Amino acid sequence: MATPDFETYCQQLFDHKTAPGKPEVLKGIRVLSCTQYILGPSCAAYLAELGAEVIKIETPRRGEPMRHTTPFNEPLLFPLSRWVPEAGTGLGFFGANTNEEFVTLDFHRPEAKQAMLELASKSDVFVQNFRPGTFDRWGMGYQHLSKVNPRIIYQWLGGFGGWGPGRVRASYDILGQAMGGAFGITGEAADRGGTPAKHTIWLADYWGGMMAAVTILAALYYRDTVSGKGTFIEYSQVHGVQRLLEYSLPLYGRYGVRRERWGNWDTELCVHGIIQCGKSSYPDSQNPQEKEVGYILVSAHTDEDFKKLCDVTGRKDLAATYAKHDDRVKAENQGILYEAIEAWAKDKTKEDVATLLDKAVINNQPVWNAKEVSEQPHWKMRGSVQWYDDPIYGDLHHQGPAFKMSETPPRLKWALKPAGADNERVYGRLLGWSKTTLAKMEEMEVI
Amino acid sequence: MAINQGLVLTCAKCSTKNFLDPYPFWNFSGNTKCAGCDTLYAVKFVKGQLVSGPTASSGKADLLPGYAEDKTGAGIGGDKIRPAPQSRPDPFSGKQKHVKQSLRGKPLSGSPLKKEDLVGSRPKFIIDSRK
Repeated sequence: MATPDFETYCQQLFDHKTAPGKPEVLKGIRVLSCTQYILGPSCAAYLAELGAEVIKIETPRRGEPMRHTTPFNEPLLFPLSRWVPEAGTGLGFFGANTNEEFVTLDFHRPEAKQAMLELASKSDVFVQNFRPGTFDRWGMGYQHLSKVNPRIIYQWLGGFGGWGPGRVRASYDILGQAMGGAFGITGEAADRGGTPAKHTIWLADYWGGMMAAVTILAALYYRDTVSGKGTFIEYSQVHGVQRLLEYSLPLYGRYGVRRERWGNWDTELCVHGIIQCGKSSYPDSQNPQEKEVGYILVSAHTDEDFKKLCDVTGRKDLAATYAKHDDRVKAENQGILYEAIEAWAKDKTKEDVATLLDKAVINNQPVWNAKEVSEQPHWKMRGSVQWYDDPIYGDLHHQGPAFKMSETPPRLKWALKPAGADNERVYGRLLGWSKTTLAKMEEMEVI
Repeated sequence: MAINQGLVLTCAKCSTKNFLDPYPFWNFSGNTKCAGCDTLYAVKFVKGQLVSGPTASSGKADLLPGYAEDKTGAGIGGDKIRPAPQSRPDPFSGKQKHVKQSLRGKPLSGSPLKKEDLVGSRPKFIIDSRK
Protein backbone atom coordinates (compact mmCIF):
# COMPACT_ATOMS: atom_id res chain seq x y z
CA MET A 1 0.00 0.00 0.00
CA ALA A 2 1.38 3.38 -1.02
CA THR A 3 2.21 5.77 1.75
CA PRO A 4 0.28 9.04 1.64
CA ASP A 5 2.07 12.29 0.93
CA PHE A 6 3.31 14.12 4.01
CA GLU A 7 0.47 16.64 4.14
CA THR A 8 -2.23 13.99 3.92
CA TYR A 9 -0.38 11.88 6.47
CA CYS A 10 -0.17 14.75 8.96
CA GLN A 11 -3.77 15.79 8.43
CA GLN A 12 -5.05 12.28 9.06
CA LEU A 13 -2.81 11.82 12.07
CA PHE A 14 -3.32 15.14 13.79
CA ASP A 15 -6.90 16.16 12.95
CA HIS A 16 -8.08 17.67 16.25
CA LYS A 17 -11.61 16.40 15.64
CA THR A 18 -10.37 12.83 16.16
CA ALA A 19 -8.78 13.64 19.54
CA PRO A 20 -11.80 12.67 21.71
CA GLY A 21 -11.53 9.06 20.51
CA LYS A 22 -7.88 8.70 21.46
CA PRO A 23 -6.28 8.10 24.89
CA GLU A 24 -4.88 10.88 27.06
CA VAL A 25 -1.24 10.61 27.99
CA LEU A 26 -1.58 11.87 31.58
CA LYS A 27 -4.84 10.08 32.39
CA GLY A 28 -4.59 8.76 35.94
CA ILE A 29 -2.37 11.57 37.17
CA ARG A 30 -4.19 13.73 39.71
CA VAL A 31 -3.08 17.32 40.23
CA LEU A 32 -4.18 19.72 42.95
CA SER A 33 -3.90 23.31 41.77
CA CYS A 34 -3.99 25.97 44.50
CA THR A 35 -3.06 28.66 42.04
CA GLN A 36 -4.00 32.19 41.11
CA TYR A 37 -3.51 34.65 38.25
CA ILE A 38 -1.58 33.03 35.36
CA LEU A 39 1.85 31.70 36.37
CA GLY A 40 0.60 28.81 38.52
CA PRO A 41 -2.71 28.18 36.78
CA SER A 42 -1.14 27.86 33.33
CA CYS A 43 1.20 25.16 34.65
CA ALA A 44 -1.77 23.08 35.79
CA ALA A 45 -3.69 23.82 32.60
CA TYR A 46 -0.89 22.45 30.42
CA LEU A 47 -1.09 19.19 32.38
CA ALA A 48 -4.89 19.16 32.03
CA GLU A 49 -4.64 19.58 28.26
CA LEU A 50 -2.59 16.37 28.30
CA GLY A 51 -5.29 14.53 30.24
CA ALA A 52 -4.31 14.93 33.90
CA GLU A 53 -7.19 15.18 36.36
CA VAL A 54 -6.61 18.71 37.63
CA ILE A 55 -8.59 19.93 40.61
CA LYS A 56 -8.45 23.69 40.97
CA ILE A 57 -9.01 24.87 44.54
CA GLU A 58 -10.21 28.45 45.00
CA THR A 59 -11.55 30.83 47.59
CA PRO A 60 -15.22 30.08 48.42
CA ARG A 61 -17.87 32.08 46.55
CA ARG A 62 -15.64 34.50 44.63
CA GLY A 63 -12.92 32.22 43.32
CA GLU A 64 -9.36 33.31 42.71
CA PRO A 65 -8.45 36.92 41.83
CA MET A 66 -7.89 36.33 38.13
CA ARG A 67 -11.61 35.85 37.67
CA HIS A 68 -12.01 39.53 38.57
CA THR A 69 -9.04 41.03 36.86
CA THR A 70 -9.18 41.24 33.09
CA PRO A 71 -9.96 42.42 30.53
CA PHE A 72 -11.79 45.60 31.40
CA ASN A 73 -14.34 43.46 33.23
CA GLU A 74 -16.48 43.07 30.15
CA PRO A 75 -17.73 40.84 28.61
CA LEU A 76 -17.89 38.39 31.48
CA LEU A 77 -19.02 34.80 31.65
CA PHE A 78 -21.83 34.23 34.14
CA PRO A 79 -22.26 32.87 36.76
CA LEU A 80 -19.12 33.53 38.82
CA SER A 81 -20.37 30.75 41.09
CA ARG A 82 -23.74 29.34 42.05
CA TRP A 83 -23.63 31.62 45.11
CA VAL A 84 -22.83 34.74 43.09
CA PRO A 85 -24.76 34.39 39.82
CA GLU A 86 -25.00 38.13 39.25
CA ALA A 87 -21.24 38.44 38.73
CA GLY A 88 -19.03 36.71 36.22
CA THR A 89 -15.55 35.58 35.36
CA GLY A 90 -13.35 37.82 33.24
CA LEU A 91 -11.99 36.49 29.98
CA GLY A 92 -8.43 36.79 31.29
CA PHE A 93 -9.18 33.52 33.10
CA PHE A 94 -9.26 31.81 29.70
CA GLY A 95 -6.32 29.74 28.61
CA ALA A 96 -4.91 29.12 32.07
CA ASN A 97 -7.62 26.88 33.52
CA THR A 98 -8.50 24.50 30.71
CA ASN A 99 -10.18 21.11 31.35
CA GLU A 100 -10.06 21.46 35.15
CA GLU A 101 -12.47 20.60 37.94
CA PHE A 102 -13.28 23.50 40.21
CA VAL A 103 -13.73 23.26 43.95
CA THR A 104 -13.65 25.84 46.71
CA LEU A 105 -11.85 25.70 50.04
CA ASP A 106 -10.90 28.38 52.55
CA PHE A 107 -7.27 27.55 53.28
CA HIS A 108 -7.35 29.39 56.60
CA ARG A 109 -9.75 27.01 58.26
CA PRO A 110 -8.65 23.93 60.23
CA GLU A 111 -11.24 21.87 58.40
CA ALA A 112 -9.62 22.98 55.16
CA LYS A 113 -6.21 21.78 56.25
CA GLN A 114 -7.59 18.36 57.02
CA ALA A 115 -9.35 18.20 53.66
CA MET A 116 -6.22 19.32 51.88
CA LEU A 117 -4.07 16.67 53.54
CA GLU A 118 -6.61 14.01 52.57
CA LEU A 119 -6.72 15.25 48.98
CA ALA A 120 -2.93 15.37 48.83
CA SER A 121 -2.68 11.80 50.11
CA LYS A 122 -4.61 10.74 47.00
CA SER A 123 -2.85 12.95 44.46
CA ASP A 124 0.31 12.88 42.39
CA VAL A 125 1.06 16.58 41.98
CA PHE A 126 0.46 19.72 44.01
CA VAL A 127 0.89 23.15 42.41
CA GLN A 128 0.71 26.49 44.18
CA ASN A 129 2.01 29.99 43.56
CA PHE A 130 1.38 31.90 46.76
CA ARG A 131 4.12 33.99 48.36
CA PRO A 132 7.09 32.03 49.73
CA GLY A 133 6.30 30.21 52.94
CA THR A 134 2.57 30.94 52.95
CA PHE A 135 1.52 27.33 52.50
CA ASP A 136 4.07 26.19 55.04
CA ARG A 137 2.53 28.61 57.51
CA TRP A 138 -0.84 27.04 56.79
CA GLY A 139 0.58 23.52 57.30
CA MET A 140 0.28 22.65 53.62
CA GLY A 141 3.90 22.95 52.46
CA TYR A 142 5.94 20.14 50.98
CA GLN A 143 7.24 19.33 54.44
CA HIS A 144 3.68 18.63 55.52
CA LEU A 145 2.22 17.01 52.43
CA SER A 146 5.16 14.69 51.88
CA LYS A 147 4.49 13.20 55.30
CA VAL A 148 1.03 12.06 54.22
CA ASN A 149 2.16 11.27 50.67
CA PRO A 150 5.90 10.71 50.14
CA ARG A 151 5.29 10.30 46.40
CA ILE A 152 3.83 13.73 45.86
CA ILE A 153 5.45 16.14 43.38
CA TYR A 154 5.16 19.60 44.92
CA GLN A 155 5.57 22.50 42.51
CA TRP A 156 5.89 25.96 43.99
CA LEU A 157 6.10 28.91 41.62
CA GLY A 158 7.01 32.38 42.79
CA GLY A 159 8.82 35.50 41.79
CA PHE A 160 12.22 35.23 43.37
CA GLY A 161 12.62 31.75 44.80
CA GLY A 162 12.02 30.45 48.29
CA TRP A 163 15.31 31.57 49.82
CA GLY A 164 17.65 34.52 49.59
CA PRO A 165 17.34 38.09 50.85
CA GLY A 166 15.13 39.26 47.97
CA ARG A 167 12.53 36.54 48.21
CA VAL A 168 9.64 38.16 50.10
CA ARG A 169 7.92 40.29 47.51
CA ALA A 170 4.99 39.82 45.23
CA SER A 171 5.80 39.26 41.60
CA TYR A 172 3.80 39.86 38.47
CA ASP A 173 4.51 39.16 34.86
CA ILE A 174 5.62 42.75 34.28
CA LEU A 175 7.88 42.70 37.32
CA GLY A 176 9.38 39.41 36.19
CA GLN A 177 10.14 40.89 32.80
CA ALA A 178 11.64 44.03 34.34
CA MET A 179 13.82 42.31 36.91
CA GLY A 180 14.76 39.43 34.64
CA GLY A 181 16.28 41.79 32.09
CA ALA A 182 13.77 41.42 29.25
CA PHE A 183 12.97 45.14 29.17
CA GLY A 184 16.65 45.94 28.83
CA ILE A 185 16.55 44.51 25.32
CA THR A 186 12.88 44.88 24.34
CA GLY A 187 11.56 48.25 23.23
CA GLU A 188 12.60 51.18 21.12
CA ALA A 189 16.19 52.13 20.38
CA ALA A 190 17.70 55.14 22.13
CA ASP A 191 17.36 57.41 19.08
CA ARG A 192 13.69 56.44 18.60
CA GLY A 193 12.53 57.16 22.12
CA GLY A 194 14.42 54.49 23.99
CA THR A 195 11.46 53.25 26.01
CA PRO A 196 11.18 49.63 27.13
CA ALA A 197 8.17 47.70 25.85
CA LYS A 198 6.20 45.31 27.97
CA HIS A 199 5.21 42.20 26.14
CA THR A 200 1.44 42.60 26.12
CA ILE A 201 0.79 38.89 26.47
CA TRP A 202 1.76 37.55 29.90
CA LEU A 203 4.85 35.93 28.51
CA ALA A 204 6.73 35.46 31.78
CA ASP A 205 3.65 33.84 33.30
CA TYR A 206 2.76 31.44 30.50
CA TRP A 207 6.41 30.58 29.85
CA GLY A 208 6.92 29.95 33.56
CA GLY A 209 3.86 27.71 33.63
CA MET A 210 5.24 25.67 30.77
CA MET A 211 8.68 25.40 32.41
CA ALA A 212 7.04 24.15 35.59
CA ALA A 213 4.90 21.64 33.71
CA VAL A 214 7.99 20.23 32.00
CA THR A 215 9.75 19.94 35.35
CA ILE A 216 6.77 18.14 36.87
CA LEU A 217 6.84 15.60 34.05
CA ALA A 218 10.54 15.03 34.72
CA ALA A 219 9.85 14.56 38.43
CA LEU A 220 7.05 12.10 37.66
CA TYR A 221 9.40 10.16 35.42
CA TYR A 222 12.03 10.04 38.16
CA ARG A 223 9.50 8.99 40.76
CA ASP A 224 7.96 6.25 38.64
CA THR A 225 11.15 4.82 37.15
CA VAL A 226 13.93 5.50 39.66
CA SER A 227 13.21 6.71 43.17
CA GLY A 228 9.60 5.97 44.00
CA LYS A 229 9.58 9.29 45.85
CA GLY A 230 8.25 12.77 45.29
CA THR A 231 10.13 16.00 44.65
CA PHE A 232 9.89 19.58 45.83
CA ILE A 233 10.26 21.93 42.87
CA GLU A 234 10.85 25.65 43.11
CA TYR A 235 10.41 27.91 40.08
CA SER A 236 11.39 31.57 40.07
CA GLN A 237 9.57 33.73 37.55
CA VAL A 238 12.48 36.16 37.35
CA HIS A 239 14.96 33.36 36.78
CA GLY A 240 12.67 32.09 34.04
CA VAL A 241 12.93 35.43 32.25
CA GLN A 242 16.70 35.42 32.68
CA ARG A 243 16.70 32.02 30.97
CA LEU A 244 15.31 33.80 27.88
CA LEU A 245 18.07 36.39 27.61
CA GLU A 246 19.91 34.50 24.85
CA TYR A 247 23.40 35.91 24.41
CA SER A 248 22.92 39.03 26.55
CA LEU A 249 24.79 37.73 29.58
CA PRO A 250 27.63 36.02 27.67
CA LEU A 251 28.07 39.24 25.69
CA TYR A 252 28.26 41.28 28.87
CA GLY A 253 30.62 38.78 30.47
CA ARG A 254 33.02 38.85 27.56
CA TYR A 255 33.06 42.52 26.62
CA GLY A 256 31.14 44.44 29.24
CA VAL A 257 28.70 45.36 26.46
CA ARG A 258 25.09 45.87 27.46
CA ARG A 259 22.82 44.56 24.75
CA GLU A 260 20.36 47.31 23.91
CA ARG A 261 16.83 47.77 22.64
CA TRP A 262 16.38 47.89 18.90
CA GLY A 263 12.61 48.09 18.45
CA ASN A 264 10.92 46.30 15.58
CA TRP A 265 14.09 45.99 13.54
CA ASP A 266 16.91 43.47 13.91
CA THR A 267 20.43 44.07 15.12
CA GLU A 268 21.87 41.27 12.98
CA LEU A 269 19.82 41.42 9.77
CA CYS A 270 18.60 44.20 7.52
CA VAL A 271 16.06 44.50 6.00
CA HIS A 272 14.33 42.29 8.57
CA GLY A 273 11.75 44.25 10.52
CA ILE A 274 8.25 45.62 10.82
CA ILE A 275 7.22 48.71 8.87
CA GLN A 276 4.16 50.93 9.03
CA CYS A 277 1.76 51.06 6.10
CA GLY A 278 -0.05 54.36 5.72
CA LYS A 279 -3.60 53.12 5.08
CA SER A 280 -6.10 51.17 7.13
CA SER A 281 -7.25 47.78 5.89
CA TYR A 282 -10.82 48.74 6.79
CA PRO A 283 -11.23 52.36 5.63
CA ASP A 284 -15.05 52.27 5.73
CA SER A 285 -15.33 50.69 9.18
CA GLN A 286 -17.04 52.61 11.97
CA ASN A 287 -14.86 50.80 14.49
CA PRO A 288 -11.96 53.09 15.50
CA GLN A 289 -9.79 50.04 16.08
CA GLU A 290 -10.11 49.08 12.45
CA LYS A 291 -9.39 52.57 11.19
CA GLU A 292 -5.85 52.34 12.48
CA VAL A 293 -3.07 51.97 9.93
CA GLY A 294 -1.51 48.57 9.37
CA TYR A 295 1.93 47.06 9.86
CA ILE A 296 3.82 44.40 8.01
CA LEU A 297 6.97 42.35 8.53
CA VAL A 298 9.38 42.63 5.60
CA SER A 299 12.35 40.28 5.41
CA ALA A 300 14.79 40.96 2.57
CA HIS A 301 18.20 40.73 4.16
CA THR A 302 20.06 38.74 1.51
CA ASP A 303 21.68 40.79 -1.24
CA GLU A 304 19.38 39.21 -3.82
CA ASP A 305 16.17 39.89 -1.87
CA PHE A 306 17.25 43.41 -0.99
CA LYS A 307 17.80 44.18 -4.66
CA LYS A 308 14.30 42.87 -5.43
CA LEU A 309 12.87 45.01 -2.63
CA CYS A 310 14.57 48.09 -4.07
CA ASP A 311 13.09 47.28 -7.46
CA VAL A 312 9.57 46.97 -6.01
CA THR A 313 9.85 50.17 -4.03
CA GLY A 314 11.43 52.09 -6.91
CA ARG A 315 14.60 52.81 -4.95
CA LYS A 316 17.29 51.31 -7.12
CA ASP A 317 19.65 53.96 -5.78
CA LEU A 318 19.52 52.24 -2.39
CA ALA A 319 20.37 48.90 -3.99
CA ALA A 320 23.55 50.44 -5.29
CA THR A 321 24.49 52.32 -2.14
CA TYR A 322 23.74 49.49 0.28
CA ALA A 323 24.52 46.47 -1.86
CA LYS A 324 26.51 44.82 0.96
CA HIS A 325 24.74 43.51 4.04
CA ASP A 326 27.54 44.76 6.27
CA ASP A 327 26.58 48.28 5.20
CA ARG A 328 22.82 47.75 5.47
CA VAL A 329 22.96 46.35 8.97
CA LYS A 330 24.85 49.33 10.44
CA ALA A 331 22.70 51.16 12.94
CA GLU A 332 22.88 54.51 11.16
CA ASN A 333 21.91 52.95 7.81
CA GLN A 334 18.99 50.89 9.06
CA GLY A 335 17.11 54.10 9.84
CA ILE A 336 17.60 55.36 6.28
CA LEU A 337 16.40 52.09 4.76
CA TYR A 338 13.31 51.59 6.91
CA GLU A 339 12.31 55.22 6.41
CA ALA A 340 12.50 54.74 2.64
CA ILE A 341 10.37 51.59 2.74
CA GLU A 342 7.75 53.26 4.94
CA ALA A 343 7.62 56.24 2.57
CA TRP A 344 6.83 53.81 -0.25
CA ALA A 345 4.14 52.08 1.89
CA LYS A 346 2.52 55.34 2.97
CA ASP A 347 -0.32 55.14 0.43
CA LYS A 348 -0.86 51.41 0.84
CA THR A 349 -2.57 48.96 3.16
CA LYS A 350 -0.64 46.05 4.64
CA GLU A 351 -2.49 43.80 2.19
CA ASP A 352 -1.41 46.01 -0.76
CA VAL A 353 2.20 45.73 0.39
CA ALA A 354 1.90 41.97 0.90
CA THR A 355 0.52 41.51 -2.62
CA LEU A 356 3.38 43.45 -4.18
CA LEU A 357 6.03 41.67 -2.11
CA ASP A 358 4.49 38.25 -2.77
CA LYS A 359 4.63 38.97 -6.48
CA ALA A 360 8.33 39.78 -6.14
CA VAL A 361 8.87 36.65 -3.99
CA ILE A 362 9.98 38.64 -0.94
CA ASN A 363 9.22 37.20 2.48
CA ASN A 364 6.57 39.21 4.35
CA GLN A 365 3.74 38.88 6.83
CA PRO A 366 1.08 41.45 7.66
CA VAL A 367 0.75 41.99 11.41
CA TRP A 368 -2.58 40.40 12.30
CA ASN A 369 -5.03 41.35 15.00
CA ALA A 370 -7.37 38.96 16.84
CA LYS A 371 -10.04 39.25 14.15
CA GLU A 372 -7.59 38.39 11.41
CA VAL A 373 -6.08 35.50 13.35
CA SER A 374 -9.57 34.13 13.99
CA GLU A 375 -10.53 34.17 10.32
CA GLN A 376 -7.56 32.33 8.82
CA PRO A 377 -8.61 29.00 7.26
CA HIS A 378 -5.22 27.43 7.95
CA TRP A 379 -5.40 27.90 11.70
CA LYS A 380 -9.07 27.06 11.88
CA MET A 381 -8.50 23.80 10.02
CA ARG A 382 -5.71 22.85 12.41
CA GLY A 383 -7.82 23.62 15.48
CA SER A 384 -5.42 26.29 16.68
CA VAL A 385 -8.36 28.66 16.89
CA GLN A 386 -11.78 27.17 17.28
CA TRP A 387 -15.36 27.76 18.22
CA TYR A 388 -16.66 25.20 20.65
CA ASP A 389 -19.82 24.43 22.50
CA ASP A 390 -19.02 24.86 26.19
CA PRO A 391 -21.36 22.84 28.42
CA ILE A 392 -21.76 25.70 30.89
CA TYR A 393 -21.24 29.00 29.12
CA GLY A 394 -22.32 28.19 25.58
CA ASP A 395 -20.62 29.29 22.39
CA LEU A 396 -16.98 30.23 23.03
CA HIS A 397 -14.07 31.08 20.81
CA HIS A 398 -10.73 29.83 22.03
CA GLN A 399 -7.22 28.78 21.12
CA GLY A 400 -6.59 25.04 21.06
CA PRO A 401 -3.50 23.22 22.39
CA ALA A 402 -0.39 24.44 20.61
CA PHE A 403 1.09 21.06 19.79
CA LYS A 404 -0.12 17.82 18.24
CA MET A 405 0.49 14.22 19.33
CA SER A 406 -0.47 11.36 17.05
CA GLU A 407 -1.33 8.73 19.69
CA THR A 408 -2.35 10.77 22.72
CA PRO A 409 -3.36 14.21 21.48
CA PRO A 410 -3.88 17.09 23.89
CA ARG A 411 -7.38 18.49 23.67
CA LEU A 412 -9.76 21.20 24.75
CA LYS A 413 -12.71 19.79 26.70
CA TRP A 414 -13.86 22.98 28.37
CA ALA A 415 -12.21 26.32 29.05
CA LEU A 416 -13.36 27.00 32.61
CA LYS A 417 -16.20 26.49 35.06
CA PRO A 418 -17.75 28.58 37.83
CA ALA A 419 -15.95 28.53 41.19
CA GLY A 420 -16.98 25.47 43.20
CA ALA A 421 -18.87 23.85 40.33
CA ASP A 422 -17.42 20.42 41.16
CA ASN A 423 -17.59 20.56 44.98
CA GLU A 424 -20.04 17.69 45.33
CA ARG A 425 -18.35 15.48 42.78
CA VAL A 426 -14.79 15.94 44.05
CA TYR A 427 -15.38 16.00 47.79
CA GLY A 428 -17.96 13.24 47.56
CA ARG A 429 -15.81 10.97 45.41
CA LEU A 430 -12.39 11.60 46.93
CA LEU A 431 -13.15 12.38 50.56
CA GLY A 432 -16.44 10.54 50.95
CA TRP A 433 -18.29 13.60 52.16
CA SER A 434 -22.02 12.98 52.48
CA LYS A 435 -24.69 15.40 51.40
CA THR A 436 -25.02 16.46 55.03
CA THR A 437 -21.28 17.08 55.40
CA LEU A 438 -21.21 19.06 52.18
CA ALA A 439 -24.11 21.20 53.35
CA LYS A 440 -22.44 21.79 56.71
CA MET A 441 -19.12 22.75 55.12
CA GLU A 442 -20.94 25.10 52.78
CA GLU A 443 -22.89 26.69 55.61
CA MET A 444 -19.65 27.22 57.55
CA GLU A 445 -18.13 28.72 54.40
CA VAL A 446 -15.27 26.22 54.51
CA ILE A 447 -16.17 25.45 50.89
CA MET B 1 0.08 50.95 61.90
CA ALA B 2 2.56 48.34 60.72
CA ILE B 3 3.16 47.64 57.10
CA ASN B 4 3.69 44.10 55.94
CA GLN B 5 5.35 43.32 52.67
CA GLY B 6 3.96 44.97 49.58
CA LEU B 7 0.37 46.05 49.59
CA VAL B 8 -0.81 44.32 52.75
CA LEU B 9 -1.79 46.85 55.36
CA THR B 10 -2.08 45.54 58.92
CA CYS B 11 -4.14 47.74 61.21
CA ALA B 12 -2.45 48.45 64.52
CA LYS B 13 -5.81 48.99 66.23
CA CYS B 14 -7.49 45.69 65.37
CA SER B 15 -4.75 43.66 63.62
CA THR B 16 -6.91 43.23 60.55
CA LYS B 17 -4.92 42.47 57.43
CA ASN B 18 -6.22 44.65 54.62
CA PHE B 19 -5.19 43.37 51.22
CA LEU B 20 -4.92 46.34 48.88
CA ASP B 21 -5.30 44.95 45.38
CA PRO B 22 -2.33 45.83 43.21
CA TYR B 23 -4.22 47.16 40.20
CA PRO B 24 -6.33 49.88 41.83
CA PHE B 25 -3.71 50.72 44.47
CA TRP B 26 -0.63 50.56 42.24
CA ASN B 27 -0.65 54.31 41.74
CA PHE B 28 -3.02 55.65 44.35
CA SER B 29 -3.19 58.61 46.67
CA GLY B 30 -6.10 58.99 49.10
CA ASN B 31 -7.99 57.38 51.93
CA THR B 32 -8.61 53.72 52.52
CA LYS B 33 -10.51 52.16 55.38
CA CYS B 34 -9.63 49.24 57.62
CA ALA B 35 -12.23 46.54 56.99
CA GLY B 36 -12.07 45.47 60.63
CA CYS B 37 -12.55 48.69 62.61
CA ASP B 38 -13.39 51.33 59.95
CA THR B 39 -10.32 53.42 60.81
CA LEU B 40 -9.45 55.72 57.94
CA TYR B 41 -5.88 55.93 56.70
CA ALA B 42 -4.28 58.19 54.14
CA VAL B 43 -1.82 56.33 51.93
CA LYS B 44 0.12 57.04 48.79
CA PHE B 45 1.48 54.35 46.51
CA VAL B 46 3.64 54.96 43.48
CA LYS B 47 4.29 51.96 41.27
CA GLY B 48 3.18 49.68 44.06
CA GLN B 49 5.52 51.21 46.63
CA LEU B 50 4.23 53.00 49.69
CA VAL B 51 5.75 56.49 49.53
CA SER B 52 3.74 58.15 52.29
CA GLY B 53 1.44 57.10 55.12
CA PRO B 54 -0.39 55.35 56.39
CA THR B 55 -1.52 58.17 58.63
CA ALA B 56 -4.80 58.67 60.46
CA SER B 57 -7.22 60.55 58.28
CA SER B 58 -10.76 61.89 58.20
CA GLY B 59 -13.53 62.09 55.67
CA LYS B 60 -14.50 59.10 53.55
CA ALA B 61 -12.66 56.20 52.01
CA ASP B 62 -11.73 56.67 48.37
CA LEU B 63 -11.00 53.01 47.86
CA LEU B 64 -11.72 49.96 50.01
CA PRO B 65 -9.42 46.96 50.37
CA GLY B 66 -10.05 44.14 47.94
CA TYR B 67 -9.99 41.54 50.69
CA ALA B 68 -9.41 41.47 54.42
CA GLU B 69 -8.81 39.01 57.24
CA ASP B 70 -9.29 39.49 60.95
CA LYS B 71 -6.60 38.45 63.43
CA THR B 72 -7.90 34.88 63.50
CA GLY B 73 -7.53 34.62 59.75
CA ALA B 74 -11.27 34.73 59.05
CA GLY B 75 -12.25 36.60 55.91
CA ILE B 76 -14.12 39.89 56.19
CA GLY B 77 -16.67 40.48 53.47
CA GLY B 78 -19.82 42.40 52.76
CA ASP B 79 -19.63 46.14 52.34
CA LYS B 80 -16.33 46.34 54.23
CA ILE B 81 -14.43 45.45 51.09
CA ARG B 82 -14.73 46.51 47.50
CA PRO B 83 -17.25 44.31 45.64
CA ALA B 84 -16.27 42.23 42.64
CA PRO B 85 -16.04 44.53 39.63
CA GLN B 86 -19.07 44.80 37.45
CA SER B 87 -19.08 45.17 33.72
CA ARG B 88 -17.89 48.57 32.72
CA PRO B 89 -19.69 50.55 30.04
CA ASP B 90 -19.10 49.81 26.43
CA PRO B 91 -17.03 52.74 25.11
CA PHE B 92 -19.34 53.37 22.15
CA SER B 93 -22.80 53.08 23.70
CA GLY B 94 -21.90 54.20 27.22
CA LYS B 95 -23.89 51.26 28.58
CA GLN B 96 -22.87 47.93 29.96
CA LYS B 97 -22.79 45.50 27.11
CA HIS B 98 -24.13 42.22 28.37
CA VAL B 99 -24.69 39.57 25.77
CA LYS B 100 -26.71 36.41 25.39
CA GLN B 101 -25.23 35.43 22.06
CA SER B 102 -21.72 34.99 20.74
CA LEU B 103 -20.31 36.94 17.82
CA ARG B 104 -21.70 34.29 15.46
CA GLY B 105 -25.17 34.34 17.01
CA LYS B 106 -25.23 31.23 19.22
CA PRO B 107 -26.30 31.12 22.91
CA LEU B 108 -23.68 32.44 25.33
CA SER B 109 -23.98 33.14 29.06
CA GLY B 110 -22.72 36.71 29.07
CA SER B 111 -25.31 38.46 31.25
CA PRO B 112 -25.97 38.62 35.01
CA LEU B 113 -28.12 35.80 36.32
CA LYS B 114 -30.27 35.07 39.35
CA LYS B 115 -30.16 31.95 41.49
CA GLU B 116 -33.39 30.75 39.91
CA ASP B 117 -31.72 30.95 36.48
CA LEU B 118 -29.33 28.14 37.45
CA VAL B 119 -29.34 24.37 37.62
CA GLY B 120 -26.43 23.73 39.97
CA SER B 121 -23.77 25.97 38.46
CA ARG B 122 -25.18 25.87 34.93
CA PRO B 123 -27.43 28.49 33.34
CA LYS B 124 -30.83 27.02 32.46
CA PHE B 125 -31.02 28.75 29.11
CA ILE B 126 -27.79 27.13 27.99
CA ILE B 127 -29.14 23.72 29.00
CA ASP B 128 -32.41 24.45 27.21
CA SER B 129 -30.61 25.53 24.07
CA ARG B 130 -29.27 21.99 23.72
CA LYS B 131 -32.64 20.25 23.97
